[in-house]
Parts: sequence; C-alpha cells; structure tokens
Amino acid sequence: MTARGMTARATRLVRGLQDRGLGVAFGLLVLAGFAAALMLRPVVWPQGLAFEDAQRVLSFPSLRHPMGTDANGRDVLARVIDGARYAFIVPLAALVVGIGIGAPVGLAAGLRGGWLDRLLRRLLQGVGLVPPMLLAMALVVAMGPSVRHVVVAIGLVQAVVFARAMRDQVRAMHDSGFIEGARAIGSPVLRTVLMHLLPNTLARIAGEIPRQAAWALGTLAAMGFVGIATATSATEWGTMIREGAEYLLAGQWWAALFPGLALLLFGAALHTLAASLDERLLLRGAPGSGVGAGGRG
Amino acid sequence: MERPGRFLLRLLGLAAFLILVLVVLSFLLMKLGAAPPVVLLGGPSPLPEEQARLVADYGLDRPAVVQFIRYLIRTVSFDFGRSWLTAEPVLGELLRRTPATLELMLYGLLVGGLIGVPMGVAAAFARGRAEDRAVRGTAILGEAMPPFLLCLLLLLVFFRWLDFSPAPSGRLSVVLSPPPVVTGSVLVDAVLMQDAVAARSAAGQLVLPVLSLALLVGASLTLLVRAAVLVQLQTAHLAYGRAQGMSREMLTGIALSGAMPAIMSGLTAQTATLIGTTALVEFVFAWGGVGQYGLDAMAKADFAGVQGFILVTGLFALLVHGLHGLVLRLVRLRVRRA
Repeated sequence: MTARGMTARATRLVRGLQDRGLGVAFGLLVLAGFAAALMLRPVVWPQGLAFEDAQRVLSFPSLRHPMGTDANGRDVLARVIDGARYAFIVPLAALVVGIGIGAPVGLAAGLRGGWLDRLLRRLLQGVGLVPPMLLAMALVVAMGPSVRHVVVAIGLVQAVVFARAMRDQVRAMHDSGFIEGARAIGSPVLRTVLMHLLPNTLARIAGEIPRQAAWALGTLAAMGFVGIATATSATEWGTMIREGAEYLLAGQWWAALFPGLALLLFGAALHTLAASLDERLLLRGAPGSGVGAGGRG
Repeated sequence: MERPGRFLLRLLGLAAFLILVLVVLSFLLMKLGAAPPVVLLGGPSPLPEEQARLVADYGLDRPAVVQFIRYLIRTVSFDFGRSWLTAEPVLGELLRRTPATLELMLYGLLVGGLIGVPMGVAAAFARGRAEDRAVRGTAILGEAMPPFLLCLLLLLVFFRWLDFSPAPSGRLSVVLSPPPVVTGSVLVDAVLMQDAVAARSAAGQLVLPVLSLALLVGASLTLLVRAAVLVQLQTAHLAYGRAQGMSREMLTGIALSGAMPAIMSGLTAQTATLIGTTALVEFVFAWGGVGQYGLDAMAKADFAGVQGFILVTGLFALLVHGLHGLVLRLVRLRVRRA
C-alpha cells in the first residue's frame, strides 16, 4: 500500500463524508460562521469589548445589546463573538503540541518494539488512568494560569492519545508484514517510514483530530469555569459563564447563557464532524474511536 | 489460560507498577511549579527565618531524588500531606467526602443506564432511519454539552423559573442539621434516623445533580450501546433470527447479551471521563464530594490538595479497570466450562 493505496483511501474517506453530507455540512458551516463573525465584529460592532456602560448593567437583551449586557455593563454579543478566538486558537495550537510530541514517540516505540515499546505502553496506561481533563487542569495549576500554559497542558495530555494511536497503528502495520517486506527489498529505514508508514498512519491520526479538538474546547471552557485558565474578564466562554453564573441563578440569565450556547454550538459542530468520521470507521469494521482522552473527561 | 494464582500475581504486579507511575506523575506535578511552592506557603512576604523553616520542614533543600523517595514513602504509607490552605490532612478530607461522590455517581449511572440502553437499542434497530438520526443527533448534542452548562441550564429552568427544585447548596438544605453519619449518604442516614424532613430535603437536593449526570452519562451510553448492538445485529445468528421473524424482544435480549462485554469495556474505558464529569457537577451544586474538593483545590492552587486528588482519581480508575479485568476472566472461565 503506497501512493496508490493512499489515494484510494482518501477517495473512500471523501465518499464516506459525502454519504453523511448533512452532519459535515452542519459542522463546517458553524465553524465558518464563527470565523466570519470573528472577522466582521470590529466592522459591524464597533463598540469596544471593554467598553463599560455604567447606565446599563445587566440589561435585558434589546436591539442595542442583542444579548444584553453583563454585570460590568459590557455588551455580551461582542464578547461572545470575540470568545471564538480562544475556541479556534487553543485547540489548534494544542493539537500541534499533541501531535508534535505524541506522533514521533508513538512512531519510535511502534517501530522499535521490544522492551521500550512495552515500557512506554505501560507508562501511557498509567498516565491514562488519571481523568484527562483533571490532569490538564493540574498541569495548568502547576505551571501557573496563562493561555500558553493551557495550550501546553492540553497538548501534553493529548500527546498521550496520539502516541497511543500512532503506536497501535505502526504495530498493526508491522504485524501485517509490509514493513518487513519493505526492509527485505532493501528500502532504508527513513524511506520506509516516509513513503510507507506515515501515509498509512495519517488517516488514523486525522480521524482523531475533530474529537480531540472538541475535547480541548471543553477542557479549556471547564478550566475557565473553575477559574484556573485565564485572568478574570477574559472573553473565553468558560470564564464568561463563571462570571455570569451567579446572576443566572438570580434570574438574569443572558450573561452566562449566551456564551454557553456559543460553546455548545461550537462543540456540537466538532462532535458532529467526529461522529461522521466514526460512523465511517465503524462501517469499515475498524472501530478506532474511543481511545484515550475522548469524550468529555 | 494461565492459572488463577499467576493471573492474580500478574494483575497485582501491573497494579503496583501503575501506582508507581501515578505517584511519579503527582510528584512531577509539584516539581513543575513555576513559583517555588515555599513562596506560596509563606504568603506574599514571609520572614527569612520563616521561609528557611518551611524549606527545611518540607525537605525542599534536599536533592530531587531524596525528595521523591520521601514523597513515595509518605504516599504509600497513606500520608498525602496537609492542605496548603486549611492544614487538614488531605487523605482524611478526601475519604470523608468519598461517600457523597460515590452516591452521586451510582445514581447517575443507574438513571443514565435507564436512558442510554433503550435509546441505544432503538437507534441500532432503526439504523439509518429517522429515529436513529434523531437519537444520534440528541446523543451527540449531549456529548458536546459541557457538564457545568447543563447543570446551569437545569438550575435556571427547575430552580429559578419553575421553582421545582432547591438551591444548589449541597446535599441538604442549609437550615437543617445533617443526620449522624452511618453510611455517608445523607438520604439513607436520614431514613435510618427516621428523620422525614431531612430525608425529603436530601432527596430534593439529589434530583438535579443526578439528572445532570444521568443525561450526560446517558448520551455517551446511547452511542456506546448503539455501536455495540449494531455489531451484534450484523452477526449470522441474529441475521438468521431476524429472517425467521423472531420477536423484537428476543432479538434485543440476544443482541444485548452479546453486546454486554463491549458495553462493559466501553464503560470501563470511560471511567476517567466519568470522574471528571462528576467533579464538574459537584462543583456547580456545591456537593461537598471528592470532585468539588479537587476543583476547589485547583482554583486556589492548593498543591497538596491537587496532588492527592489526582492520585485518588487515578487509583479509583485503576480499581475499576482491575475489577473489570477480574470479571472478564470469570466470564471467560464460565464460557470455557459451558
């Protein structure tokens, strides 16, 4: 399975996505909508994010403030749109860290096999026992609150998932014998890895991406809600929900509810994309989902 | 199949290794600290002699290896240190809060099962049709739902708007005095004491947290059951049963019993996730369990509390995985005998 196998696999994947066009369309549309709103906000909604209208503290949604104002008199809509920045950047950056660390480690362990592989598998199993969300939180607490530390913490926890996925995939291919085949015809190790191994592991890694992005988003929001991720008054949705929660319980629901709905919509888009991929894998008889930091955690 | 003794020995060996990994992990968490922990302990501007006393007390002037060995010895002898905020022993605090968490988890799993199993079975039988799509869409929404947001939504509707459930103030109304601790479950203890007022209050306090957890558990269980039953429905014997016009109830029974190992494995794999979800639910409802203690410790940078919490959650997951392994082996033994 080389270049041609890869093309065939890619075509199958695309066709599978078309079969479930509805879910994919929903997911991509929502993400595109958030991106567009983020870019258009300064134009359409020129009010500054930090602008505090002392006359209108916690005012009910109106034409002037479609999502109302928060306890400091700031426009909730503008802040909700701005929060999409965190939703895009943090999961993406964390994926770079997670794949960047996890994939090489998994590749090395899978290729080498033997005691190193067994040791790594057990280590990852041990780390995997701790709830991934709580582990990421503890890492942030240890490093100190900042967006960069949130990215590193989430990425490190995801590296465990990617290392496992990569290792399993490489081992499976190793067992199927075509690495041995490549070796037998005298292909150098680097060539075997680049030409034969990596293309065939890409689908597996790519299949994890939407789910991991959704998990990263949920973890980021949970950190914000508990109050360890960002400074107060950040436009991160979890932080906004925490600051609005006490007013929500008092009946002024808009300051917490709208960031919550944005978070839910963004997460649902990513989960829909993940589920479309899962269904494809399930039908192909290779249920590869549900590994590691999947789901909510 | 290997002999029972060897199997147990291997399981215990693995458990010991995994515990060591967990201890190392929680030790490293502490060493990662950006601010020297002593600075945190001594307050913003500790006196030099106070600072020196703290450094010596905690052994922070020793090499990292010595520190780790001391930490390891203390931890395996069940001394998780004292909270940096309250100076209470961490392990005692965690143990005292365990029944509250277990109670919430147990009810959440039970009610979640009542939601997730029928939904998953129905979706699997209707695969590709409108019912399946509706169930799957709802379940995906449930999976995407941040636990704390669901709690807040339920509170907004049932507490603020409908005035149906009490304020999120823990396990018992704040005006009542809790019954003496027997089982650790306030509801059961109140019933044992024949304290009807406390029992009613405790039951009312349980409704929304349990519902929140059950909806979240139910969502992922639905997808798990659906996938497992789908695989069963593709087997030859069930296809034959279907072709012969076997009743839906019988088909469901056979498919579910066949899918049970996959469902149990899936649930076991989600133990860690469940712990995290429960913690967030506890946090919103001020439940006073292990999860709330841990998240409070995180929010207040109480390192000892965080370390103990991470260790305990890992140990709990290890226990669940170990039990699952034992059950699997017993099932295999029975299958072999049959």
